Amino acid sequence: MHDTFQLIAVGFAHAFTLPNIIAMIAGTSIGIIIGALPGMSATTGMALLLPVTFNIPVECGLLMLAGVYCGAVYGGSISAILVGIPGTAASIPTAFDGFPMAKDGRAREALLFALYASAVGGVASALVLMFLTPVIGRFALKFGPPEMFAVGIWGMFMVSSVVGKDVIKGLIMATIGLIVSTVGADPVNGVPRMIFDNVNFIGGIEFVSLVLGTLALPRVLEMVETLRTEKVFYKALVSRKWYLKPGELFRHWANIVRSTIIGLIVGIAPAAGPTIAAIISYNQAKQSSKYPDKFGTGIADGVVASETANNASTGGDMVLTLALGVPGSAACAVFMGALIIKGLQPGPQLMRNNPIPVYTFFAGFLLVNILFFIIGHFFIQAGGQVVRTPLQILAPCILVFCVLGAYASSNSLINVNIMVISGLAAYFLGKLRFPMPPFILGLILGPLIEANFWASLLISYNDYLIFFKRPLAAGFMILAILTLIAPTVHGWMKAKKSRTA
Amino acid sequence: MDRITGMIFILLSCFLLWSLRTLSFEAAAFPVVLFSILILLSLFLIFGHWRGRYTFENARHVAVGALVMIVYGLMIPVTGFPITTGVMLWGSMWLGGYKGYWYKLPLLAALLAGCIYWVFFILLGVPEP
Repeated sequence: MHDTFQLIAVGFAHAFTLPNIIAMIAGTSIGIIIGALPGMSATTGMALLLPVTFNIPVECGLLMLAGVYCGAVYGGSISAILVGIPGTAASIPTAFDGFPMAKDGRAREALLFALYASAVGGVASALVLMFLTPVIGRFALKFGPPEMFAVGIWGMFMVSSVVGKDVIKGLIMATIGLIVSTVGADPVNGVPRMIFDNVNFIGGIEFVSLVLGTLALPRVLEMVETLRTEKVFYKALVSRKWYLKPGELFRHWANIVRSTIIGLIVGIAPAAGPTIAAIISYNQAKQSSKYPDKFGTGIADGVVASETANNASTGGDMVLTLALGVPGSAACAVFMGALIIKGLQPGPQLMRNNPIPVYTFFAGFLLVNILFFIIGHFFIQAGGQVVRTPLQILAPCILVFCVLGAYASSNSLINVNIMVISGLAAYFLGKLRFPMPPFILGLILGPLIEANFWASLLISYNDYLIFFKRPLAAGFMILAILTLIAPTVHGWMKAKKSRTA
Repeated sequence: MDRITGMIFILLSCFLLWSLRTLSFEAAAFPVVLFSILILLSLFLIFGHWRGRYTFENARHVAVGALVMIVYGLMIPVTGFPITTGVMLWGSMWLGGYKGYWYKLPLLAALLAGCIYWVFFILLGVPEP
């Protein structure tokens, strides 16, 4: 323990050098901007900056990438709140309440709650990374295919919180999302499904194109609806807040603590990541709230739950990468590439063989989460100008960024066409009151559920009860069942109470 | 509209189910189960209660907006990103009713297109389409 504190002290001493501080500030700022651009994820940002790290010292490079990662996960909330288009998939639930707040003239309030919640979650995950990496590494090994399948099912049963008022239509969209996720090679034998001899779809339909198409383009068309009419898209800003008072944030302490814990646990699960953490946390916040019906109408609780969890999961992602050499997400895979290029082999021996760079990284990861909290205040003031931009300029600019995002994800214009087609379909279905969030949920969780289902049967020799025989998997399955029946039980108890009253 | 949508979902599901008929059990199992669920839910949609009217506001402008999106996506490989984006921005702002001096629109469109081009293709090194 004494050695750990000594190493942490050395890590901070190394992190607090001028080149490293400049790298962290640059990485964080670039990360926030990239995260705020629809279609540009943390992975894209880190991949674009990876060549820059070749010519700078190893600690500088790693801290810059950490800044991009954490900045981008937070930055996704900016466009989610201001224009209702999540900059990253992890901010999808943030848009449910953040965007209505922005339309109501409370954009700055929403952005501030997102920033403070993200900072709390990020700092918590940095502390866990710093002190508990070896312990969590051993815990993470317990996550096998049955556990991942159970996490996926738990996430899928969250659909009840995003279906909206028309349950059948919500379930239809969730099912369509799951179906679309099966397009391409099947996870067991690699047999192509539903691609109709088009080799472009052998790897499936590009996720970024579908997210931009179903969430962003309908938003653009909604802005077009209000052009040349008396209809107002954004109400005037009601306040010019620069910061949140402590009391305003502490009012949400239970939500923050719960969301942090959810983010930390889900972040440790391989391939779960910030997106699933945010979805699960949003649903739990809604179920625990005294006013669940208000979620989705523009309350801070939804923003706080989503942003705390997605930033709290970043540390867990890194634990897997550093301690086990297993990237927890695509962004961590890029980070692992940077480690290997610099001659550091991720895995159980990393901390033993290279303690100084590792603990410098841990210290820097904490500093980066504090940095984006400071830098974020400036972006909030700049971001507030977005809602004042005339829609005739804003709508086409958003379209351009969406096209770039869809194209840049795999340098293919086919994804742009997919985005446009799915966008027009989503707009039309949205008018018929088919909600899009369940579709996205199905799209994200489909591959996780299917691949891990077959892998579980393979390792258990076709034992379908494997999901209840392993304790961790059984725990998640029970949580999933409780999540599914909780709204029904809650409604029944409420009806019983009103009958007796 | 709900009934028509439900029927379209059922027809698409049947067509795609038919396309899966030659696949192995592991490859077809998940999609078959999901299509079955979709058909069942679509039947609920068809035979369920009619829930009021659906309105499409400002349909003409939305149709023009959709056309702009489609043409923009198709023209990028033909005329290149900077020119297509500049023309699209100029045209969209004009169609949207942006008010100002006649030279403001093309200048603003060129400036925006130029900045976006420089940031993405020069600074970040994204390959041009």
